[in-house]
Amino acid sequence: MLAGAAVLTALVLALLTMAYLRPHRLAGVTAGQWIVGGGLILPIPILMLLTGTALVLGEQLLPRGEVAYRAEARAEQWAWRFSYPDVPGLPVSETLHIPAGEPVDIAVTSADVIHAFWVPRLGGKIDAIPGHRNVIRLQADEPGIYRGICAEFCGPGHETMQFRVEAHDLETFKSMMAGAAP
Amino acid sequence: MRQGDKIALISLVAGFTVWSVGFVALYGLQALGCAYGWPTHRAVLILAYGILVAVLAVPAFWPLRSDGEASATLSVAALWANRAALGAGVLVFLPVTFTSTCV
Ligand SMILES: [Cu+2]
Repeated sequence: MLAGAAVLTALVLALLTMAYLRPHRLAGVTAGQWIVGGGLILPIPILMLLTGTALVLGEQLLPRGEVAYRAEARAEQWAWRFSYPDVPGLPVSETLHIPAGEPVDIAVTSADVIHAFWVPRLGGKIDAIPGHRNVIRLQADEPGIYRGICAEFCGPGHETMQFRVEAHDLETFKSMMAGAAP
Repeated sequence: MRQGDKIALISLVAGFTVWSVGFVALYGLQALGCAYGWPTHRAVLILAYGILVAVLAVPAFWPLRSDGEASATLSVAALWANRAALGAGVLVFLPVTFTSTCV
């Protein structure tokens, strides 16, 4: 994705540079050719490729069948609260703990207005709607800290409505869920 | 404004008006079908897609007869705007015919 964007940026900058430094080389290209070439022939296949990729990835993100790990995310103005239906004793926290390398279903809902749950590095984004449960399936391939934000404007505290996702290796996660640490 | 100019002006926005109404209609049908568990959900979406493309095709392939200079210019712009709307409809609405609807 980044490489593709770099190629396109370089192409546009090269054309722009050429228009300033060697205008006669581009003089043969008519306005109509610029419009059809740059406005239709270049972007349409790229957009179709990106849309197709997004559709395939979107289908893969859908929570089909059962997974071993589940969490619940509840949004409110202006914080996120995470809990685990399989471990009811665990205190509700503002950090979501997940096992690395395993798909996790996160049921997202809201206590007041519409928010949106988004962890950019884990992909996927889903609305948090009062009175409704939306499920998103995410997987962190590596242990680590992934930052999340509210992605739907929800009032004056919206931009501070961030959260952390901590992905642990499976053993650590299991012992955490058993109430051992931290 | 002459009658021919008025019609040409309406034709200019016709395609994309149908497109936006169609977009909202498909969104609504998708949501309603999931909420009420329609057994014919996919068929409804495919039917709606077919109807929308057919309606969009009318102004895209049926240019207006013009009756003056202004409406002649507008008619050409309208024809290509409506062809763009048809292309946008065929491509953008297509996924409702095959992608997952409800989870
Ligand atoms: Cu929010």
